[in-house]
Amino acid sequence: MAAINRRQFLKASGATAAFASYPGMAFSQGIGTAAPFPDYKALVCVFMFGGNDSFNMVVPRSGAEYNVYAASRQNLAIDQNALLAINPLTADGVQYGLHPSMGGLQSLFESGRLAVVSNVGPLLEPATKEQIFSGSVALPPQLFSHNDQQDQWHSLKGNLQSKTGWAGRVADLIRTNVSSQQMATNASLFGNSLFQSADETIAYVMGPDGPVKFEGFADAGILLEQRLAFERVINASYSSIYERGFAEIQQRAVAASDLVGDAIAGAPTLNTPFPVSPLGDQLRTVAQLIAARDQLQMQRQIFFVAAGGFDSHDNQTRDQPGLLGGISEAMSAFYDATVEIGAADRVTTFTQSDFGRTLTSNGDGSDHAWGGNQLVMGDAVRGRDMYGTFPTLEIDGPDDVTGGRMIPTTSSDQYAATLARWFGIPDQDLDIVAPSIDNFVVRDLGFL
Amino acid sequence: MELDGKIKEPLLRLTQLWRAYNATSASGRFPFGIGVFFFGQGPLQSPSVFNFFSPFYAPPGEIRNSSLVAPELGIATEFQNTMVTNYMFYQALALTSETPDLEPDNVFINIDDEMAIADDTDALVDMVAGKLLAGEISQTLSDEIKGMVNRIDTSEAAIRVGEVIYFIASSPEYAYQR
Repeated sequence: MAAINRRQFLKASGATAAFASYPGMAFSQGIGTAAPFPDYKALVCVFMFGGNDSFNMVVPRSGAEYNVYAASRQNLAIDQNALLAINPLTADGVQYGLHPSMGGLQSLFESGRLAVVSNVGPLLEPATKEQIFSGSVALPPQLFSHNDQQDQWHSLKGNLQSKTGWAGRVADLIRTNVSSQQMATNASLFGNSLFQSADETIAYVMGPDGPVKFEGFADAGILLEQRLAFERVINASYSSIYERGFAEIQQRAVAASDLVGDAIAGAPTLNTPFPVSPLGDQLRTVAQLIAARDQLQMQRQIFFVAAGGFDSHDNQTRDQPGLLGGISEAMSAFYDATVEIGAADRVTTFTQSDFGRTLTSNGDGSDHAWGGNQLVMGDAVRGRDMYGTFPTLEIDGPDDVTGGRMIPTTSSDQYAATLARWFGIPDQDLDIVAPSIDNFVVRDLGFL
Repeated sequence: MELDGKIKEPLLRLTQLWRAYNATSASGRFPFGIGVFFFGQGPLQSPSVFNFFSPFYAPPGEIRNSSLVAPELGIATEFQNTMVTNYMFYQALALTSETPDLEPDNVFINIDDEMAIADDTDALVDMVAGKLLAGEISQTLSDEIKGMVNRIDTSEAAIRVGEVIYFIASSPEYAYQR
């Protein structure tokens, strides 16, 4: 057989038509009825699995407040003089610093590219210590539990029996605006997540280095025959609902491996160096995908990347510099890459984590808690500032629900709603993204 | 029938193949450092106490719409399925008793039975389907495999055998536990 172009061959053979007509298959995920967006925007979620001890990531460094912090944190406290000073535009009378390992993000904060959102966590409505102890306020279920609170951050579902995540609902809401996109709005480089699960659209899951090619498939000859035979097998009709579910994943894998792989290969090469780490690899691939946004006709993308190891019950003082330093190096490299590809004002990166950790020390680390600090990065961010209310880091103080667990002063719903509004979700639809948002006066935290 | 059964998790798809083909290595070891890389799971390699997938996972589409769950599909992502499919390709075609120059720790499958009948396409498909699908192979899969194998010269016996094992071990019907 002549070595003809595979796409021409597939088109001639009718294989691509069969793909496009398969339910749930096509990556163009809507029937175009709504107006396309006039611009490109991307949200990048950096999830820190295990529960980041974020009151060591953003720390009060002025005398009185530092002393309260140090008394609460005991052997976990960061040395006052080692903290990297940040100077927020809006003063609350306290000076703050970042963890000593986070020099890259300190520079981005000071140059206005990074903001801190203080003490965020899952809430169903504003909650005070008194209301919690008197039982007069509704709370999310299973506080302080890893998988339950990851699910809360991902889904904002509260007590609802929901199988969708807030990024998934965003993708569903805009699906008719982005019908020309060749790739799904949601893409993950860290496996399936509830965050991106939706009713109408399907997230695409690739590897940390992007899509992998199928071995044994080629453009011509017997390995083209092999590919076509493989495709006919996975496109066959199956009697079991589970076989069909499995076959659909294989169909998407075969289709996207070339589509996305070729787009990355055809995009400009990035010169920005990335740290050699799992998160560095994932964020480098995200930058390459953003560089390929025009080839894929993308208008809106939500990327999920993650780092693990934050469940610092033990060896916290040993491990935390590497954990937070890794976040800082990978995120600041990613910011530089978005500058290189001319998309720094189009890409907003934000952090999430299971929960904050106890201010109290267990002797060697900290335990599961509730509210925590988060970071938001990009040129669209009103940076060099802190949003929300920094809590009083006092054991048994007004913000401590017990054991040094901070009651969130800003809800995850408010955080998500602010990001979703920037992304293009109209105000009247924010309650679909963030189901408890109507219980909060402030619907937009103002950091975008 | 339509709602019975489940999808086998990736490691069970591998161990079923290994058992059916008396897999071994020259060193006698079964090193599995590649496990998480190809399969997204491995013995004692769960990333947390919550194991590899959630019991509540329901993929979007007809499974979720039927109020069913399919926990194993939580790690059957586009990426991981491609990796497992590629591993099956290597195992069937390059990690067998017919492969020259294996490393001592390479886990290989024994295809002696199949080699003996490798020039008889129908008998070959029946034999592999008997070992991996309890003999219940779909017409589509059988036809597609025979079409491929008949393109390969009978002098390439190990490739004819490997094609059959690869196609069956990466098929939806093999992934499905009835």
